[in-house]
Amino acid sequence: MRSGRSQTRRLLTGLGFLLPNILGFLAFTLIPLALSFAMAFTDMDFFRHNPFRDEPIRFVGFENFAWLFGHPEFWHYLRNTFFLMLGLPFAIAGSLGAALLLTRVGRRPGLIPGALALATLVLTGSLLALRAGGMSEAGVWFVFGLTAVTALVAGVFTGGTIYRTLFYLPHFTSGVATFVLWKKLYNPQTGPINHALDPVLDGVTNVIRAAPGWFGVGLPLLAGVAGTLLAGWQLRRLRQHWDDATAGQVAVGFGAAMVMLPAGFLLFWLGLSTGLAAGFALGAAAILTILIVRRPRRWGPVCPVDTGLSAEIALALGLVPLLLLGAAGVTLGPALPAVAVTGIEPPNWLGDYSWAKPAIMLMALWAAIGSNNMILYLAGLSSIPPELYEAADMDGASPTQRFWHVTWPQLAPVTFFIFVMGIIHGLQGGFEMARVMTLGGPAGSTTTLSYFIYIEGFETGRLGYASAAAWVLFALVFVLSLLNFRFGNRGTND
Amino acid sequence: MKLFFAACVIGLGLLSAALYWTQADREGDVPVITWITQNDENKRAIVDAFHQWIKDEQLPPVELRIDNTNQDPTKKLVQGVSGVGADLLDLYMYEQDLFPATGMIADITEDAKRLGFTPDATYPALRGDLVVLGRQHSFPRNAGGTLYWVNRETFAKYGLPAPPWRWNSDEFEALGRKFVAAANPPGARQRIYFANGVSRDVLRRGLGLSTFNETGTFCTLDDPRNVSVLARVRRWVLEDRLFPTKEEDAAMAADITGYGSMFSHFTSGRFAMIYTGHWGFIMIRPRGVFQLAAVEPPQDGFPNTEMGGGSVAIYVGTKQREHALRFLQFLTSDPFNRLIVRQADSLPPVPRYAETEEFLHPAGRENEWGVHGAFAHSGRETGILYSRSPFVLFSQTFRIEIETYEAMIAGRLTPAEAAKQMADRINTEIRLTIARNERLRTLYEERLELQRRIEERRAGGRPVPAAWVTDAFHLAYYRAHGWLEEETKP
Amino acid sequence: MTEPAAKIPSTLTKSAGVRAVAGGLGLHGLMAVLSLAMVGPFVWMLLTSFKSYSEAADPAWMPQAFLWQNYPEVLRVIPFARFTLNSLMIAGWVTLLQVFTSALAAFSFARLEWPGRDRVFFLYLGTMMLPGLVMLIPTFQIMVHFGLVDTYLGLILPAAFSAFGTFLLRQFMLGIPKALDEAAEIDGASKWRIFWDVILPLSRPGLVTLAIFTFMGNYHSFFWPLVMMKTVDKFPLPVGLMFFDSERGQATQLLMAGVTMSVVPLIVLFIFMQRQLIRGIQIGAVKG
Repeated sequence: MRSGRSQTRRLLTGLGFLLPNILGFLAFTLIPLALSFAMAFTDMDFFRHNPFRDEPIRFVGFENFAWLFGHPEFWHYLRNTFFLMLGLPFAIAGSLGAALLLTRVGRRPGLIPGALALATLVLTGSLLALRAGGMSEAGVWFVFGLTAVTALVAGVFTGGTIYRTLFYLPHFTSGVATFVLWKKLYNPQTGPINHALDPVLDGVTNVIRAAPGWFGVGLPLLAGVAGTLLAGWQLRRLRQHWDDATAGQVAVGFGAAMVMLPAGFLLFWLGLSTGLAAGFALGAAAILTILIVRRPRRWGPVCPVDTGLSAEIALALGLVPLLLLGAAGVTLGPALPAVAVTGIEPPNWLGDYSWAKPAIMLMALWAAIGSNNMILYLAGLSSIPPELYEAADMDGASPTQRFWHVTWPQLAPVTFFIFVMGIIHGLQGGFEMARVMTLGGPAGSTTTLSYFIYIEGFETGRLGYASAAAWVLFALVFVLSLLNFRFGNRGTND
Repeated sequence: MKLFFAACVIGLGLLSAALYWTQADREGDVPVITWITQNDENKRAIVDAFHQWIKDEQLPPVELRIDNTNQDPTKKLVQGVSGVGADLLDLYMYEQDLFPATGMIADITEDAKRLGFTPDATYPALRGDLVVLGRQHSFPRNAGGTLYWVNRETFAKYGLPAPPWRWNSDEFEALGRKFVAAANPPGARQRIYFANGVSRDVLRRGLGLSTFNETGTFCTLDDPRNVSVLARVRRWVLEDRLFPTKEEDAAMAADITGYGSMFSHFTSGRFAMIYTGHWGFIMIRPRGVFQLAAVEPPQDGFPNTEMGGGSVAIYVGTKQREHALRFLQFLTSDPFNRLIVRQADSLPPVPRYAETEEFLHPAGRENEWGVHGAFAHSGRETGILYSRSPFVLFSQTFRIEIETYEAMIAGRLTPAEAAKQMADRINTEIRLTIARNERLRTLYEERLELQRRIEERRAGGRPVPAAWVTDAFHLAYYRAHGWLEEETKP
Repeated sequence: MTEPAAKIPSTLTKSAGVRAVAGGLGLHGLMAVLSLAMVGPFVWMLLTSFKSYSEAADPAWMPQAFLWQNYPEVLRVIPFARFTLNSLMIAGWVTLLQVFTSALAAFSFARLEWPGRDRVFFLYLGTMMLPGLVMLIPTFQIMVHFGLVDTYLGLILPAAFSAFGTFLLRQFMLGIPKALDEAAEIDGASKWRIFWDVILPLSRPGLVTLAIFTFMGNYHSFFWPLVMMKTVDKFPLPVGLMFFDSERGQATQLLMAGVTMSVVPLIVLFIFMQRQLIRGIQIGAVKG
């Protein structure tokens, strides 16, 4: 239909708008990109190729890649990278939750400020009195109290601005400062986290010591029953949500896996190998999922971006620790006498092989909840047309149904963006963190691919090799994003 | 919106112009050399002393400026290899062979002879730091071994004897167990440790084992002696609980903040001993007066301590080479060495100043007298540099050793597996280097031949020419055992 | 999960009022507690900034006495104001350039149709996926080549053109109804007019959001300026704060005081921009 001329004009207009960006893009992205691609196939090494030592650069074909895949720790670092990315859904759920809460606060009219301000005044007064009473170390609680109270008062009067600012606070300090800060917080000897955990764990030890002898038998029983009930409740909930169409297949699968995860741990603790324990848990989860999903549903088909997944994730945040506690209770019973003797030690966070990764994920979660993602969700939430909610109210939708049938589909483009960026950043992340906090240790457990690239590029000088690693990383991100585009984008453009 | 954009552009334009024009004009009549180091009181005192010395010696005037903002190792390296480094660079630890390997450090062999700062002017043990493949490239501004600092008050508190000056692993272990049992009430969580850690290198060397063989061509950490050392250290950490699980890897720590807590634990009695250098005084003196002593790390067989130091090198791209050389000459001068003695910042580079009363028994600091002499002794008698090979970067060796050790402590490897993995990974790095670097490949082949001949001679019980042995530890070990055929000067 | 935008019932009975008050209390209480969790590390940072040198490594949160002089000390030891202005200036230019060029590019990708558009867009997106680390050396060499090492321009230019901004704004512009440009086109408006007078005002929330992100990110950028800059006078703040790093023990309390001060302009700016953000979002919502 279109003539060639009009085609050309369209192209020129399109490129015209692109021009300023594309010029910078060429100079500072595409050229370095091309250079680094070329480097990946050479033996470039800045110990031999620099202004003071001019040896010829040789083309080595795919040798760098061969070295990389033969590197004994490469797969370990790749696993680390993926493991740290497991925090992404939680971060997204956290940001969305924070944005939802902030939106609610923002819309609340000033009905309650009087009562709250009064309560606050009383609280502040009593805290001040306590402070005047002279406590030095307890002064911390005073500071905490004061902070919370200030936030409260300010929040009531400013209607959310202050919360929004406080939530965004982690983003105000530079990455490096945040890492230094958290490294100090995590210090097992001097850090405030363990400082605060110490008395708690001592208390637990004392309780264990004081407990009567039958406790060692009773605890596993109690924990087992409680865990089973909890798991049963969660499975029933999943079934209901499937019937309501507020959970899709993936969400049900995820939920079932989360319920079965502690069972897997239990088996692992009881001496099964990791593979067998995980296999059992996943198998059980798969069977449960099939059983649930085969039921006919009342509400018809669901949105393609899997409905209910973040609800399941949010629930897992609360449920899985409880279930794990139950599983721990079952295994811990016989070990109690030993614990009573030695006491419970707080973790050595960054210094412990198994704790370092969770510690970093915790920090990342803290930084991610009130991050740019929260802002994006805030923007997204406020552009949802109110008519949609009114229509949902007319249909008599419950709050959960309103969320799953209005809010969540409307937010799909934002979620998609956040997810893509999250994967990109996740795969490339961990380099500054490792550089400041852990140096990739202990035992390489926090060495991500990007830190590996940093070491190879800047410590051992093998630029060609480092470039090859970077391009492998690129291929991974690319494939993941492509999958995401193919399967995730379906919900966004309708 | 247009208005807003315009306002932004104008505002930013004004700000940029203001910032651009107010940049301090740094050009003066006197040439300036910059020195990348820390900006603390001690370094500023050194700068003042240097200016005074220039005046006294009637040398052409020059201004020395400290640049502590370009200290980051990556930054030094990237700027250096891109041609924009500073005139004088401090080199620590692995930088001592990494930086010269890039070719960005000036070869000062001839100048050193002319101005008198050859390796002979300082501790013989430091030679391997200063001279890489036969060419000198730096001179130390301080030196020293690493010893256990003992807080005598902590031992006295639990009615235990202070550790002896020299002890073996079994004695170390026995006292450590006693200490940990006495200091931590039964049934409570352990809060007090015997020390912050132990050097695996010293233990290995005591048994006659180094990281590398005599010529640096192979990593020898898969030796059964290393397995026994690793097993012992694992027992000390996990069963006897002499040290916290993860010691501060002081030398490599990117977060320097770790040091502060080590010293605070030492002075507060949570660590009875800490393993660190003589410069610890800088951190300990401000915390109060403590009854101190320094003792050797446990010695099994061959007595040795770890030696190291910070040295200063000249950037090859400097425009002020002659002035920069003067600074290195200043490091051998009387005012500089006496300044270091007063600052108690490790041993002065010229050994005889570490034998003075001023160094050994500083007036009014009787509580420190047990420490200074110990460090002087270590520098003079037992100090040996870190083992290194030209075929693998020291930073890599260091990283692999620690990573593997940590995997063992985390229970993922047995000591035997850990030892094997250390050697395998380091040897892989060597293979990667020589696969591509032709210059080093030639050297490697020569060294392999030497290694073969050394082993042949040793098998036959014959001495070996000193020039064949390049590894710092093996050189000292061979010399002590009389296995060397010392070259006689023609 | 809670539903957003809870409506206050129009007929406010007494019990509903009590419930609203209780709910409000609960909500505000929850928010305060959550805020505390987010702020906790900063409280620690603030308290540490008042400690003495030897106290800084101690586990106790509270300083024995509040040393206010740490703050003047920071200003004395480093040219703090200059570093801050440097950071503000660099981040300001980057933000301005990036928002502008990204808006142009996003308009092209989202609202114009031209052959090969989606393929070029995917190429853009692709470049985000390569770790910036590996481009560091080539980019640095380009900088050396152009003589941009140790200049303000060397920090501004490479950051001013981003695929991220283009992607973000494209997503925003996709949400604006097509009918608007078609109507404008029928009125005879040129593409530039449509961009400038129709699309740009409507994508204001997106622009403000991108501006905030870009500004924050560049105010904090550390590794690239660290490698690039040599002259102290041109250091941005995060690099300048490394003054307090030294081989043998860090003046933690001064670092913390410096970080605390560095955060202040951002908070002020954020509170100011936030108003813009909210207003922008609301306008967008009405029209969209």
